Amino acid sequence: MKRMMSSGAALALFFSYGANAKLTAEEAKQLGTTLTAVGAEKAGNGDGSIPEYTGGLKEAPAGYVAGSGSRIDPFAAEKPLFSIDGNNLAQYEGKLSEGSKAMLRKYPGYRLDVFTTHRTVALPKAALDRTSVVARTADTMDDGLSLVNASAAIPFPVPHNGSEAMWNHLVHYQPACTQLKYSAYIVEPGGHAYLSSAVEGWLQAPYWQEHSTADRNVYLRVRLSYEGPPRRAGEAVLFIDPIDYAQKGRRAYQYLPGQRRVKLAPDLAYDTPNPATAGSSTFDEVYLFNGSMDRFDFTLVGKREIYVPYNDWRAVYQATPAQLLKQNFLSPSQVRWEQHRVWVVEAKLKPGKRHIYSRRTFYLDEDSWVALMSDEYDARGQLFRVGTALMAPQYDSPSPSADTHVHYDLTSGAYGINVWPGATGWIRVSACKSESAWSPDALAAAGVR
Amino acid sequence: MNRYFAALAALLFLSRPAAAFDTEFGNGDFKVRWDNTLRGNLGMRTTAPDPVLGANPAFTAGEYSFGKGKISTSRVDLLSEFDASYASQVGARVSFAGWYDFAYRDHTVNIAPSLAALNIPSGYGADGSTLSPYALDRYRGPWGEILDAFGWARFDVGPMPVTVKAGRHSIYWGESLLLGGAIHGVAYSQVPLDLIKAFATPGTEIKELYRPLAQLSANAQLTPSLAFAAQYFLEWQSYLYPEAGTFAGPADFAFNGPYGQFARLGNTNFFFKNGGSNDSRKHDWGASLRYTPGFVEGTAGVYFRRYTDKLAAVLLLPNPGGQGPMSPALNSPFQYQQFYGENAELLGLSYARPIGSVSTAIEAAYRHNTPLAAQPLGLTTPPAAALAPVLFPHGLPKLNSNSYQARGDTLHLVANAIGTLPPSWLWSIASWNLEATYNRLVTVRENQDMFFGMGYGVCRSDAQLKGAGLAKNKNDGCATDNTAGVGASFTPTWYQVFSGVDLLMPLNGSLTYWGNSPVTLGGNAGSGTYSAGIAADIRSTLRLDLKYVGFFGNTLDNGTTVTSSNGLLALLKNRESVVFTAKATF
Repeated sequence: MKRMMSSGAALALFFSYGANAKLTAEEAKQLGTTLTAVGAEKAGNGDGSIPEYTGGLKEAPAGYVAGSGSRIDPFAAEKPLFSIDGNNLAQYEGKLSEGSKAMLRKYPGYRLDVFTTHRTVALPKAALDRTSVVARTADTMDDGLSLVNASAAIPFPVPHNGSEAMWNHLVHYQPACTQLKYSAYIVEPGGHAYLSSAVEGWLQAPYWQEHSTADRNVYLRVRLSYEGPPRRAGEAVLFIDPIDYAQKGRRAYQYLPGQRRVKLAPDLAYDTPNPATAGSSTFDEVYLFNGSMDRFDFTLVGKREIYVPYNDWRAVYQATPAQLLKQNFLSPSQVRWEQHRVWVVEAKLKPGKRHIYSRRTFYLDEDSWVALMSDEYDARGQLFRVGTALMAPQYDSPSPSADTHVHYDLTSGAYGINVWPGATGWIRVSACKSESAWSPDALAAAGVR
Repeated sequence: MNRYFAALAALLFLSRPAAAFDTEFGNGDFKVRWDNTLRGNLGMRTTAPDPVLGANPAFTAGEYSFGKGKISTSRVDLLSEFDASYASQVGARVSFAGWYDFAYRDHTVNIAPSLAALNIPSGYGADGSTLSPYALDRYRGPWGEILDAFGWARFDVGPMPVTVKAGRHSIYWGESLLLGGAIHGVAYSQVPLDLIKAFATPGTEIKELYRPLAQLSANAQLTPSLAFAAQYFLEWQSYLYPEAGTFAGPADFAFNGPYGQFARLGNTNFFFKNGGSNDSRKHDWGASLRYTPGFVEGTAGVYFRRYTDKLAAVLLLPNPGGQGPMSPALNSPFQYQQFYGENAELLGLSYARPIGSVSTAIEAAYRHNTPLAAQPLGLTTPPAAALAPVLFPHGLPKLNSNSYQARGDTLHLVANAIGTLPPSWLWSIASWNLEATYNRLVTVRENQDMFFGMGYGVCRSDAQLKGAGLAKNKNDGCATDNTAGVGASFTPTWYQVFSGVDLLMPLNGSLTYWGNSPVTLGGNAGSGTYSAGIAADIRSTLRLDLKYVGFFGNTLDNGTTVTSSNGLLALLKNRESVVFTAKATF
């Protein structure tokens, strides 16, 4: 049985689901009082397994090398409170996503080590202050496909429907400019792991910049250069995602070294298999969901307390492939799970639209709005893929980040991990590149090969 | 010190299995990487040599190069690429290609038994000769060459990022994809292409065919939406041609390998001597502007280039003294040379945009004063004074700077599309591309009768020409006013069919369906290529392909000997083969 929120505010919200109204004055009063500035429940839960939100982790722990972008685990000394595996699954069923349950049932060695909950997500004060202002006017258009009247803030701290909740995930807080160095691996059913991409990338979130020459209707632009495997070295892609999807749509460009030309690549979206993960996940599964929402109907189901991966700095920044990538699933002793409140959003394939998934369930973290888990069902309604994002907040920024994510394929037993810095990579706040550097032709100029 | 460095290199090699050498020094600013691609090709001819094609001395050595069931190629290629960069601001790249083909190890030139019985030689000499040193280097090896060798620097001029490169590199403008687009597009003759590889494996993307040239180039992002690029060449090279006597060599005079070509006019046998190439060290250059407005989808480009042609016209000149490689048994009153007209100009436009989920592009190119298609082994002087007005009614050919080629203007259009078909029960994903070309003769200006096109030179139904047996028409390849062709590829892919193995089924073909082009290699009606295969991609490291490869085209024969061919590709119509390729990058 799903546990709904117990506070009075929740009842009021419950009755306003489905309505497409902007933030009401009453709801606005809750922000900063019973709710955090971004709309999470400030109070802990009844039995204390979820603590009160006290602002998150805003200072880097001792031992973190400033500017390194490789973050140590401030809770490294902690031990798990308990573990969940196939044997005691029944005891915790109400607090597990469908995907977790399926993994626990399928693999005898799969285990969730559950630790003390720490609500470590923190955002800069400016972002928090703007949210209640912007939330008054933020709205969606074109049946939820486009975001309007919003910038530099979480648009819907009190979402009224599924599209609004997903917009919170899509535009979740990012530093203005980020540089990354990461890998993607695919692990075959037999257990052999091999590198499917080694990437250096830049991210810019013009939506969150107070002062920028960039078009603020772009909420994310990403430029990735492939350094490996050797066959892919020199390739590059550029993605520009607008908030007015219905009018503009994603613009994606691809540079292939041999052709020495930048090509428009409109197929780098939706359920096109992502070559960066050797086809083990689709383009729209990066960050568990990205891109246009036009193929699914999104419904906000409600809130639940479930076990999700959280505070996973060790898996994200310290683990080596040998330590983390075991057969069928990530090594359970490297992944930290905690109990958190999440918003559940159900997505159903719209009639007449085409996608390999008929249904998807997303679990969004209440403190950051970032998607932490997903369940994905094939055309026959069978649970096919389980998505897991490893939340490891960037305490030096501060900003929430669950960039590293894994997709388990329940039918084949293979899985892929993407945007994984690992022990040799990093995610750093950086100086922003000039506008010219984000043009498609600059992709070509950057390619030496 | 050497031992220490060697040990360090070995350690780095072992600790980074992803690339042969990929590492950073200092604080990550100095990057070095070294990648090697090893490829093995094993091919077997599946059709027996055609005696009708082989009975013509001009085509015999290629047709009889390998028999049915014989290994036509057994080649190992190594491509080694070295890149170094400092702070992404300055760097260098060197690449090297080397090869050895066991199929040519003890190979001798074979010709049709009917010709051997008459002591008619191939371009390399009597039946059973070996290939020339040039052909052996290019085909058998062991041989190699430096491809890229350049330095680059990136800096900002105010807010404008600028990149400059100096040295041997290749730059290819426009939006073309396949060989048709490479010929008819804005990038024609910007980069020489390796036609040996193109004919050995049809359907190869042009990216694998580039041959770098020494040049200075720069590109600058003038504004976020406007990019400028320019190049100035310091070197010129022709296309790399499939040579006579090899499996994919269409004609026995072509091009740099053979010593000459047997010819019979009337009852006299003689040997055209191969006078080589009229090499040109011209300083070609080009400039382009590309604009991505943002308010309208897509990117538009405008290009202006001055170029020296890189595809040869092979023309006959008198050989004073008449001595040749087969003298005194066969004298050489004529020699043939390759001509590459210079001072041609190209003005091009391009526009690329997505339409739905398909990436589309069009190009238009206007070539001004460009060399026009010539008759293979066409005459530049009349062999007898009486034939002058018959062969050259518009006037005798003149040497126009460095070439006797006809010059004129042509218009070219290229349109292509790249797309993927979504996942379904048929495949995980299927990628396809399509390229259509159109070519039109605008005007013929100089050396009009050297143009191998209807209404000029030998391409006329003139009674005297016919009487001398020299008249040619469309079936012989005479160019028509309009030409249209198409190329396509379709590759369904199945991900992770076996653990770590993706399967693909690459299919491709090309066809010129209308007209004979007024430009060299522009296409001849009814000729084309095809290949069908299956491939496996193993752990993103090893790629295996098994392909069936063939060519088609129109030829005419009199029952015993082929008498004419519409284009050179048609001569390969009987050279079908099965090729297995294994390629690994490490």
